[in-house]
Amino acid sequence: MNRRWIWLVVLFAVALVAVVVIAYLPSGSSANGPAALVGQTAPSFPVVDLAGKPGALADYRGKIVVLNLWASWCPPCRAEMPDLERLSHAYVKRGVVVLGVDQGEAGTRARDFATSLGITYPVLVDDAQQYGRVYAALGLPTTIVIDANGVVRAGFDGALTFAQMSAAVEPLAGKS
Amino acid sequence: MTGLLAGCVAIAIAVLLELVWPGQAVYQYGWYNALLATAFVLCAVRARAVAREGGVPALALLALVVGTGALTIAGVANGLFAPDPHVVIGSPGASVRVDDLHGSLSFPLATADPVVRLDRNGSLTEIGAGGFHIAAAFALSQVRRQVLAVDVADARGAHLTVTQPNGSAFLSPVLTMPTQQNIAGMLLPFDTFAVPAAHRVVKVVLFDRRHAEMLKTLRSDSPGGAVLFSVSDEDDRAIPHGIALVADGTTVALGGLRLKGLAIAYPAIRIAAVPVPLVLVLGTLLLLGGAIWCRLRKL
Repeated sequence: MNRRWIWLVVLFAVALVAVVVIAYLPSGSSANGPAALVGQTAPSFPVVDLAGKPGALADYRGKIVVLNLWASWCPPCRAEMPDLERLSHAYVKRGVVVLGVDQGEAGTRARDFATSLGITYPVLVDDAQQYGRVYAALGLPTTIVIDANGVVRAGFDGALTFAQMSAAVEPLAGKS
Repeated sequence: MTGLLAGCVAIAIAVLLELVWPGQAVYQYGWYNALLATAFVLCAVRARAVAREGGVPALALLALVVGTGALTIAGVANGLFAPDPHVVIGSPGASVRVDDLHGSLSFPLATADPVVRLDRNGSLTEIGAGGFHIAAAFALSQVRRQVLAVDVADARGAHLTVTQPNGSAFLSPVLTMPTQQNIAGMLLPFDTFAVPAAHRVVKVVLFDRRHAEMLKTLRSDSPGGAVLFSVSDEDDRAIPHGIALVADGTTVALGGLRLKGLAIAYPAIRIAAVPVPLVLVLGTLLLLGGAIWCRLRKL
Protein backbone atom coordinates (compact mmCIF):
# COMPACT_ATOMS: atom_id res chain seq x y z
CA MET A 1 0.00 0.00 0.00
CA ASN A 2 1.50 3.36 -0.96
CA ARG A 3 1.93 6.39 1.28
CA ARG A 4 -0.95 8.26 -0.35
CA TRP A 5 -3.44 5.62 0.80
CA ILE A 6 -2.04 5.63 4.32
CA TRP A 7 -2.44 9.39 4.54
CA LEU A 8 -5.99 9.17 3.19
CA VAL A 9 -6.88 6.60 5.82
CA VAL A 10 -5.35 8.75 8.58
CA LEU A 11 -7.28 11.82 7.35
CA PHE A 12 -10.47 9.77 7.18
CA ALA A 13 -9.97 8.59 10.77
CA VAL A 14 -9.32 12.12 12.02
CA ALA A 15 -12.43 13.38 10.23
CA LEU A 16 -14.49 10.59 11.77
CA VAL A 17 -13.28 11.37 15.26
CA ALA A 18 -14.07 15.06 14.72
CA VAL A 19 -17.57 14.23 13.46
CA VAL A 20 -18.44 11.98 16.39
CA VAL A 21 -17.04 14.34 19.04
CA ILE A 22 -18.82 17.38 17.54
CA ALA A 23 -22.06 15.40 17.42
CA TYR A 24 -22.09 15.11 21.21
CA LEU A 25 -21.15 18.71 21.96
CA PRO A 26 -24.05 20.76 23.32
CA SER A 27 -24.88 24.03 21.60
CA GLY A 28 -23.89 27.17 23.43
CA SER A 29 -26.89 29.25 22.50
CA SER A 30 -30.23 29.17 24.20
CA ALA A 31 -33.04 31.64 24.50
CA ASN A 32 -35.33 31.20 27.45
CA GLY A 33 -38.35 33.09 28.61
CA PRO A 34 -40.83 35.06 26.51
CA ALA A 35 -38.15 36.07 23.96
CA ALA A 36 -37.82 32.39 22.97
CA LEU A 37 -40.97 32.69 20.83
CA VAL A 38 -39.75 35.61 18.70
CA GLY A 39 -40.35 34.84 15.04
CA GLN A 40 -42.98 32.20 15.76
CA THR A 41 -46.73 32.44 15.25
CA ALA A 42 -48.32 33.60 18.48
CA PRO A 43 -50.37 30.79 20.08
CA SER A 44 -53.95 31.64 21.03
CA PHE A 45 -56.33 29.88 23.41
CA PRO A 46 -60.03 30.42 23.98
CA VAL A 47 -60.66 31.93 27.41
CA VAL A 48 -63.19 34.48 28.68
CA ASP A 49 -63.24 38.25 29.08
CA LEU A 50 -64.13 40.18 32.23
CA ALA A 51 -67.82 39.85 31.40
CA GLY A 52 -67.48 36.08 31.09
CA LYS A 53 -67.88 36.09 27.30
CA PRO A 54 -65.55 34.00 25.11
CA GLY A 55 -62.40 35.74 23.99
CA ALA A 56 -58.95 34.94 22.68
CA LEU A 57 -55.81 36.54 21.33
CA ALA A 58 -56.83 35.34 17.87
CA ASP A 59 -59.75 37.80 17.92
CA TYR A 60 -57.20 40.60 17.50
CA ARG A 61 -55.47 39.22 14.40
CA GLY A 62 -54.71 42.08 11.99
CA LYS A 63 -53.82 44.40 14.88
CA ILE A 64 -50.48 44.92 16.58
CA VAL A 65 -51.06 43.38 19.99
CA VAL A 66 -49.24 44.18 23.19
CA LEU A 67 -50.10 41.07 25.22
CA ASN A 68 -49.60 41.68 28.92
CA LEU A 69 -49.78 38.80 31.40
CA TRP A 70 -50.61 39.92 34.91
CA ALA A 71 -52.24 39.02 38.21
CA SER A 72 -53.78 41.16 40.93
CA TRP A 73 -51.32 40.01 43.61
CA CYS A 74 -48.32 41.17 41.57
CA PRO A 75 -47.07 44.67 42.61
CA PRO A 76 -44.98 45.29 39.43
CA CYS A 77 -48.08 44.46 37.34
CA ARG A 78 -50.04 47.10 39.22
CA ALA A 79 -47.23 49.63 38.74
CA GLU A 80 -47.06 48.96 35.00
CA MET A 81 -50.77 49.11 34.21
CA PRO A 82 -51.15 52.93 34.04
CA ASP A 83 -48.42 53.01 31.39
CA LEU A 84 -50.17 50.23 29.45
CA GLU A 85 -53.40 52.25 29.64
CA ARG A 86 -51.54 55.29 28.34
CA LEU A 87 -50.03 53.21 25.53
CA SER A 88 -53.41 51.87 24.49
CA HIS A 89 -54.72 55.42 24.02
CA ALA A 90 -51.57 56.78 22.41
CA TYR A 91 -51.38 54.09 19.72
CA VAL A 92 -55.02 53.14 19.17
CA LYS A 93 -55.17 55.06 15.88
CA ARG A 94 -52.04 53.31 14.67
CA GLY A 95 -53.50 49.84 14.93
CA VAL A 96 -52.08 48.89 18.33
CA VAL A 97 -54.17 47.03 20.91
CA VAL A 98 -53.13 46.40 24.48
CA LEU A 99 -54.55 43.08 25.68
CA GLY A 100 -54.28 42.14 29.33
CA VAL A 101 -54.50 38.47 30.31
CA ASP A 102 -55.04 37.74 33.98
CA GLN A 103 -53.23 34.58 35.03
CA GLY A 104 -54.93 31.99 37.18
CA GLU A 105 -57.43 34.12 39.04
CA ALA A 106 -61.18 34.20 39.27
CA GLY A 107 -62.92 36.59 36.85
CA THR A 108 -64.44 38.59 39.73
CA ARG A 109 -61.03 39.25 41.23
CA ALA A 110 -59.58 40.32 37.87
CA ARG A 111 -62.60 42.57 37.13
CA ASP A 112 -62.49 44.28 40.54
CA PHE A 113 -58.78 44.91 40.17
CA ALA A 114 -59.01 46.28 36.61
CA THR A 115 -61.93 48.51 37.56
CA SER A 116 -60.12 49.88 40.59
CA LEU A 117 -57.22 50.95 38.36
CA GLY A 118 -59.50 52.42 35.68
CA ILE A 119 -58.29 50.00 33.00
CA THR A 120 -60.21 50.41 29.74
CA TYR A 121 -58.20 48.13 27.43
CA PRO A 122 -59.56 44.61 26.91
CA VAL A 123 -58.70 42.03 29.56
CA LEU A 124 -59.04 38.26 29.30
CA VAL A 125 -59.18 35.83 32.23
CA ASP A 126 -57.02 32.75 31.81
CA ASP A 127 -57.65 30.71 34.94
CA ALA A 128 -55.77 27.67 33.59
CA GLN A 129 -52.66 29.85 33.01
CA GLN A 130 -52.32 28.58 29.44
CA TYR A 131 -50.91 31.82 28.04
CA GLY A 132 -48.37 32.03 30.85
CA ARG A 133 -47.14 28.52 30.17
CA VAL A 134 -46.94 28.74 26.40
CA TYR A 135 -45.35 32.20 26.37
CA ALA A 136 -42.71 30.86 28.79
CA ALA A 137 -43.31 33.50 31.42
CA LEU A 138 -40.45 33.62 33.90
CA GLY A 139 -42.45 35.83 36.21
CA LEU A 140 -45.15 38.49 36.17
CA PRO A 141 -45.66 40.79 34.44
CA THR A 142 -44.67 39.39 31.06
CA THR A 143 -45.25 41.36 27.88
CA ILE A 144 -45.28 40.03 24.33
CA VAL A 145 -45.43 42.20 21.22
CA ILE A 146 -47.19 40.55 18.28
CA ASP A 147 -47.36 42.04 14.80
CA ALA A 148 -50.43 42.32 12.56
CA ASN A 149 -49.63 38.94 10.98
CA GLY A 150 -49.76 37.22 14.34
CA VAL A 151 -46.00 36.75 14.65
CA VAL A 152 -44.22 37.32 17.97
CA ARG A 153 -41.80 40.22 17.52
CA ALA A 154 -40.57 40.78 21.09
CA GLY A 155 -40.92 39.37 24.58
CA PHE A 156 -40.16 41.05 27.88
CA ASP A 157 -39.87 39.71 31.41
CA GLY A 158 -40.74 42.22 34.11
CA ALA A 159 -42.40 45.62 34.22
CA LEU A 160 -41.83 48.05 31.34
CA THR A 161 -41.91 51.81 31.27
CA PHE A 162 -43.97 53.75 28.74
CA ALA A 163 -40.78 54.58 26.85
CA GLN A 164 -39.82 50.90 26.60
CA MET A 165 -43.32 49.95 25.42
CA SER A 166 -43.29 52.71 22.81
CA ALA A 167 -39.88 51.65 21.55
CA ALA A 168 -41.19 48.10 21.10
CA VAL A 169 -44.33 49.01 19.14
CA GLU A 170 -43.09 52.06 17.23
CA PRO A 171 -41.34 50.08 14.42
CA LEU A 172 -44.52 48.04 13.86
CA ALA A 173 -47.19 50.70 14.25
CA GLY A 174 -48.76 52.30 11.19
CA LYS A 175 -48.87 56.06 10.60
CA SER A 176 -51.65 57.94 12.37
CA MET B 1 -10.15 -14.56 5.74
CA THR B 2 -13.29 -16.01 7.34
CA GLY B 3 -12.03 -15.11 10.82
CA LEU B 4 -11.36 -11.54 9.68
CA LEU B 5 -14.84 -11.19 8.22
CA ALA B 6 -16.42 -12.69 11.34
CA GLY B 7 -14.50 -10.26 13.55
CA CYS B 8 -15.53 -7.25 11.46
CA VAL B 9 -19.18 -8.34 11.38
CA ALA B 10 -19.15 -8.93 15.15
CA ILE B 11 -17.89 -5.38 15.74
CA ALA B 12 -20.54 -4.03 13.36
CA ILE B 13 -23.31 -5.91 15.17
CA ALA B 14 -22.08 -4.73 18.57
CA VAL B 15 -22.09 -1.10 17.44
CA LEU B 16 -25.41 -1.32 15.59
CA LEU B 17 -26.98 -2.74 18.76
CA GLU B 18 -26.20 0.60 20.40
CA LEU B 19 -28.59 2.14 17.88
CA VAL B 20 -31.30 -0.48 18.35
CA TRP B 21 -31.17 -0.50 22.18
CA PRO B 22 -29.84 2.94 23.04
CA GLY B 23 -28.84 4.09 26.50
CA GLN B 24 -27.76 0.77 28.01
CA ALA B 25 -25.25 1.17 30.84
CA VAL B 26 -22.90 -1.44 29.37
CA TYR B 27 -22.01 0.86 26.47
CA GLN B 28 -20.30 3.21 28.91
CA TYR B 29 -18.25 0.56 30.67
CA GLY B 30 -14.51 0.87 30.10
CA TRP B 31 -14.03 -2.86 29.54
CA TYR B 32 -16.72 -2.90 26.84
CA ASN B 33 -15.07 -0.10 24.89
CA ALA B 34 -11.62 -1.59 25.42
CA LEU B 35 -13.00 -4.86 24.04
CA LEU B 36 -14.36 -3.10 20.94
CA ALA B 37 -11.06 -1.31 20.33
CA THR B 38 -9.03 -4.49 20.90
CA ALA B 39 -11.26 -6.43 18.51
CA PHE B 40 -10.69 -3.79 15.86
CA VAL B 41 -6.90 -3.84 16.35
CA LEU B 42 -6.92 -7.65 16.01
CA CYS B 43 -8.98 -7.35 12.82
CA ALA B 44 -6.55 -4.77 11.41
CA VAL B 45 -3.55 -7.00 12.21
CA ARG B 46 -5.28 -9.97 10.63
CA ALA B 47 -6.14 -7.90 7.53
CA ARG B 48 -2.48 -6.97 7.16
CA ALA B 49 -1.55 -10.65 7.30
CA VAL B 50 -4.19 -11.53 4.70
CA ALA B 51 -2.90 -8.75 2.45
CA ARG B 52 0.61 -10.19 2.65
CA GLU B 53 -0.67 -13.67 1.79
CA GLY B 54 -2.06 -12.21 -1.44
CA GLY B 55 -5.12 -13.21 -3.41
CA VAL B 56 -7.31 -10.48 -2.00
CA PRO B 57 -7.27 -6.93 -3.39
CA ALA B 58 -5.57 -4.54 -0.99
CA LEU B 59 -8.26 -1.90 -1.58
CA ALA B 60 -11.00 -4.36 -0.62
CA LEU B 61 -9.21 -5.12 2.63
CA LEU B 62 -8.68 -1.41 3.18
CA ALA B 63 -12.40 -0.75 2.75
CA LEU B 64 -13.18 -3.56 5.16
CA VAL B 65 -10.80 -2.30 7.82
CA VAL B 66 -11.67 1.38 7.40
CA GLY B 67 -15.40 0.57 7.57
CA THR B 68 -14.89 -1.49 10.70
CA GLY B 69 -12.69 1.25 12.14
CA ALA B 70 -15.39 3.85 11.50
CA LEU B 71 -17.93 1.70 13.29
CA THR B 72 -15.52 1.15 16.18
CA ILE B 73 -14.85 4.88 16.51
CA ALA B 74 -18.60 5.56 16.45
CA GLY B 75 -19.26 2.94 19.12
CA VAL B 76 -16.39 3.89 21.42
CA ALA B 77 -17.15 7.61 21.10
CA ASN B 78 -20.77 6.91 22.00
CA GLY B 79 -19.67 4.99 25.05
CA LEU B 80 -16.99 7.37 26.28
CA PHE B 81 -17.95 10.88 25.14
CA ALA B 82 -21.74 10.87 24.84
CA PRO B 83 -23.82 12.25 27.70
CA ASP B 84 -25.70 9.84 29.98
CA PRO B 85 -29.30 8.99 29.08
CA HIS B 86 -31.70 11.41 30.70
CA VAL B 87 -35.38 12.26 30.74
CA VAL B 88 -36.56 15.73 29.76
CA ILE B 89 -39.59 16.69 31.82
CA GLY B 90 -41.78 19.51 30.59
CA SER B 91 -44.86 21.13 31.98
CA PRO B 92 -47.93 21.04 29.71
CA GLY B 93 -47.68 23.93 27.25
CA ALA B 94 -44.05 24.61 28.06
CA SER B 95 -41.18 24.59 25.61
CA VAL B 96 -37.93 23.16 26.96
CA ARG B 97 -34.60 23.97 25.35
CA VAL B 98 -32.39 20.87 24.94
CA ASP B 99 -28.83 21.87 24.16
CA ASP B 100 -27.78 18.32 23.22
CA LEU B 101 -30.32 18.35 20.40
CA HIS B 102 -29.64 21.97 19.39
CA GLY B 103 -33.39 22.46 19.57
CA SER B 104 -36.38 22.54 21.87
CA LEU B 105 -39.15 20.18 22.91
CA SER B 106 -42.70 21.54 23.06
CA PHE B 107 -45.00 19.73 25.45
CA PRO B 108 -48.73 19.65 24.64
CA LEU B 109 -51.45 21.26 26.72
CA ALA B 110 -53.98 18.50 26.14
CA THR B 111 -53.58 15.16 27.88
CA ALA B 112 -55.45 13.00 25.35
CA ASP B 113 -52.99 11.31 22.98
CA PRO B 114 -50.25 13.81 23.76
CA VAL B 115 -47.61 14.40 21.14
CA VAL B 116 -44.35 16.14 22.01
CA ARG B 117 -42.83 18.23 19.22
CA LEU B 118 -39.14 18.59 18.60
CA ASP B 119 -38.14 21.83 16.90
CA ARG B 120 -34.63 21.90 15.42
CA ASN B 121 -34.03 25.10 13.49
CA GLY B 122 -37.63 25.19 12.32
CA SER B 123 -37.75 21.51 11.41
CA LEU B 124 -40.60 19.94 13.40
CA THR B 125 -40.77 16.29 14.44
CA GLU B 126 -43.61 14.73 16.38
CA ILE B 127 -42.84 12.15 19.05
CA GLY B 128 -46.01 10.29 19.97
CA ALA B 129 -46.70 7.50 22.43
CA GLY B 130 -44.43 4.58 21.60
CA GLY B 131 -42.62 6.76 19.09
CA PHE B 132 -38.89 6.56 18.50
CA HIS B 133 -36.92 9.21 16.71
CA ILE B 134 -33.25 9.75 15.92
CA ALA B 135 -32.08 13.36 16.04
CA ALA B 136 -28.40 14.22 15.61
CA ALA B 137 -26.65 11.51 17.63
CA PHE B 138 -29.52 10.92 20.03
CA ALA B 139 -32.52 8.60 20.19
CA LEU B 140 -35.71 10.14 21.53
CA SER B 141 -38.58 8.13 22.91
CA GLN B 142 -41.69 9.03 24.84
CA VAL B 143 -42.11 7.76 28.39
CA ARG B 144 -45.12 8.30 30.62
CA ARG B 145 -44.82 9.56 34.17
CA GLN B 146 -47.23 10.79 36.81
CA VAL B 147 -47.70 14.53 37.18
CA LEU B 148 -50.16 16.37 39.38
CA ALA B 149 -52.57 19.05 38.18
CA VAL B 150 -53.43 21.28 41.11
CA ASP B 151 -56.40 23.54 41.49
CA VAL B 152 -56.20 26.25 44.15
CA ALA B 153 -58.93 28.54 45.40
CA ASP B 154 -59.38 30.82 48.38
CA ALA B 155 -61.82 30.05 51.19
CA ARG B 156 -64.70 31.50 49.11
CA GLY B 157 -63.85 29.35 46.14
CA ALA B 158 -62.28 32.07 43.98
CA HIS B 159 -59.52 30.69 41.78
CA LEU B 160 -55.93 31.69 42.65
CA THR B 161 -52.73 31.83 40.61
CA VAL B 162 -50.29 28.96 41.06
CA THR B 163 -46.62 29.68 40.45
CA GLN B 164 -43.58 27.45 40.42
CA PRO B 165 -40.54 29.67 41.00
CA ASN B 166 -38.27 26.63 40.81
CA GLY B 167 -40.29 24.58 38.33
CA SER B 168 -39.90 23.99 34.60
CA ALA B 169 -42.67 26.53 33.92
CA PHE B 170 -43.28 29.46 36.25
CA LEU B 171 -46.97 29.88 35.53
CA SER B 172 -48.07 26.27 35.49
CA PRO B 173 -50.64 24.57 37.70
CA VAL B 174 -49.24 21.19 36.65
CA LEU B 175 -46.52 19.88 38.95
CA THR B 176 -44.02 17.70 37.13
CA MET B 177 -42.82 16.08 40.40
CA PRO B 178 -39.16 16.02 39.36
CA THR B 179 -37.66 15.07 42.74
CA GLN B 180 -38.30 12.31 45.24
CA GLN B 181 -38.96 12.32 48.97
CA ASN B 182 -38.17 9.38 51.23
CA ILE B 183 -41.07 8.64 53.54
CA ALA B 184 -40.98 5.48 55.62
CA GLY B 185 -38.61 3.84 53.17
CA MET B 186 -40.76 4.75 50.15
CA LEU B 187 -39.32 7.04 47.49
CA LEU B 188 -42.23 9.25 46.48
CA PRO B 189 -42.55 12.00 43.85
CA PHE B 190 -42.24 15.46 45.42
CA ASP B 191 -42.80 18.99 44.22
CA THR B 192 -43.65 22.41 45.54
CA PHE B 193 -45.60 25.45 44.38
CA ALA B 194 -46.51 28.91 45.59
CA VAL B 195 -49.79 30.76 45.88
CA PRO B 196 -48.57 34.38 45.94
CA ALA B 197 -52.01 35.93 46.43
CA ALA B 198 -52.43 34.00 49.71
CA HIS B 199 -48.72 34.22 50.70
CA ARG B 200 -48.56 30.46 50.88
CA VAL B 201 -46.10 27.79 49.76
CA VAL B 202 -47.38 24.25 49.32
CA LYS B 203 -45.30 21.09 49.33
CA VAL B 204 -46.79 18.07 47.62
CA VAL B 205 -46.01 14.36 47.85
CA LEU B 206 -47.72 11.98 45.46
CA PHE B 207 -48.59 8.41 46.46
CA ASP B 208 -49.43 6.07 43.61
CA ARG B 209 -52.11 3.43 44.11
CA ARG B 210 -49.62 0.84 45.37
CA HIS B 211 -48.19 3.17 48.00
CA ALA B 212 -51.60 4.59 48.89
CA GLU B 213 -52.80 1.12 49.82
CA MET B 214 -50.33 1.20 52.71
CA LEU B 215 -52.01 4.24 54.24
CA LYS B 216 -54.51 3.40 56.94
CA THR B 217 -56.13 6.85 56.91
CA LEU B 218 -57.43 6.56 53.36
CA ARG B 219 -60.58 4.82 52.35
CA SER B 220 -59.65 1.44 51.00
CA ASP B 221 -62.02 1.82 48.03
CA SER B 222 -60.20 4.91 46.74
CA PRO B 223 -59.62 4.15 43.04
CA GLY B 224 -56.41 6.09 42.59
CA GLY B 225 -53.51 7.30 44.65
CA ALA B 226 -53.22 9.89 47.35
CA VAL B 227 -51.76 13.37 47.73
CA LEU B 228 -50.04 14.82 50.77
CA PHE B 229 -50.34 18.63 50.97
CA SER B 230 -48.22 20.61 53.39
CA VAL B 231 -48.99 24.34 53.54
CA SER B 232 -46.53 26.86 54.95
CA ASP B 233 -46.16 30.60 54.83
CA GLU B 234 -43.78 32.44 52.48
CA ASP B 235 -40.95 32.07 54.98
CA ASP B 236 -41.52 28.30 55.02
CA ARG B 237 -43.00 28.33 58.53
CA ALA B 238 -45.53 25.54 59.01
CA ILE B 239 -49.17 26.55 59.33
CA PRO B 240 -51.12 24.89 62.20
CA HIS B 241 -53.33 22.14 60.81
CA GLY B 242 -51.62 22.76 57.48
CA ILE B 243 -50.89 19.15 56.52
CA ALA B 244 -53.39 16.73 55.02
CA LEU B 245 -53.37 13.46 53.17
CA VAL B 246 -56.27 13.10 50.76
CA ALA B 247 -57.36 10.78 48.01
CA ASP B 248 -56.35 11.82 44.50
CA GLY B 249 -58.94 14.23 43.05
CA THR B 250 -60.39 15.26 46.41
CA THR B 251 -60.64 18.91 47.52
CA VAL B 252 -59.29 19.79 50.96
CA ALA B 253 -59.41 23.06 52.93
CA LEU B 254 -55.97 23.77 54.36
CA GLY B 255 -54.17 26.88 55.61
CA GLY B 256 -56.79 29.21 54.15
CA LEU B 257 -56.71 27.48 50.76
CA ARG B 258 -58.90 24.96 49.01
CA LEU B 259 -56.56 22.50 47.33
CA LYS B 260 -57.26 19.77 44.83
CA GLY B 261 -54.71 17.55 43.13
CA LEU B 262 -55.38 15.25 40.23
CA ALA B 263 -52.68 12.79 39.15
CA ILE B 264 -52.40 12.31 35.40
CA ALA B 265 -50.05 10.35 33.18
CA TYR B 266 -48.12 12.81 31.06
CA PRO B 267 -45.32 12.29 28.53
CA ALA B 268 -41.67 13.00 29.09
CA ILE B 269 -38.92 12.44 26.57
CA ARG B 270 -36.07 10.03 27.21
CA ILE B 271 -32.90 11.05 25.38
CA ALA B 272 -30.18 8.48 24.91
CA ALA B 273 -27.02 8.91 22.86
CA VAL B 274 -26.46 6.63 19.88
CA PRO B 275 -23.47 6.23 17.57
CA VAL B 276 -23.42 9.04 15.00
CA PRO B 277 -25.78 7.79 12.25
CA LEU B 278 -23.73 9.28 9.39
CA VAL B 279 -20.63 7.43 10.54
CA LEU B 280 -22.65 4.24 11.04
CA VAL B 281 -23.98 4.37 7.49
CA LEU B 282 -20.58 5.17 6.02
CA GLY B 283 -18.84 2.49 8.07
CA THR B 284 -21.44 -0.16 7.30
CA LEU B 285 -21.32 0.57 3.55
CA LEU B 286 -17.52 0.38 3.50
CA LEU B 287 -17.54 -2.82 5.54
CA LEU B 288 -20.17 -4.47 3.36
CA GLY B 289 -18.52 -3.29 0.15
CA GLY B 290 -15.11 -4.52 1.29
CA ALA B 291 -16.50 -7.86 2.51
CA ILE B 292 -18.39 -8.55 -0.73
CA TRP B 293 -15.38 -7.56 -2.83
CA CYS B 294 -13.09 -9.84 -0.78
CA ARG B 295 -15.47 -12.82 -1.08
CA LEU B 296 -15.98 -12.32 -4.82
CA ARG B 297 -12.25 -12.34 -5.44
CA LYS B 298 -11.85 -15.43 -3.25
CA LEU B 299 -14.50 -17.26 -5.27
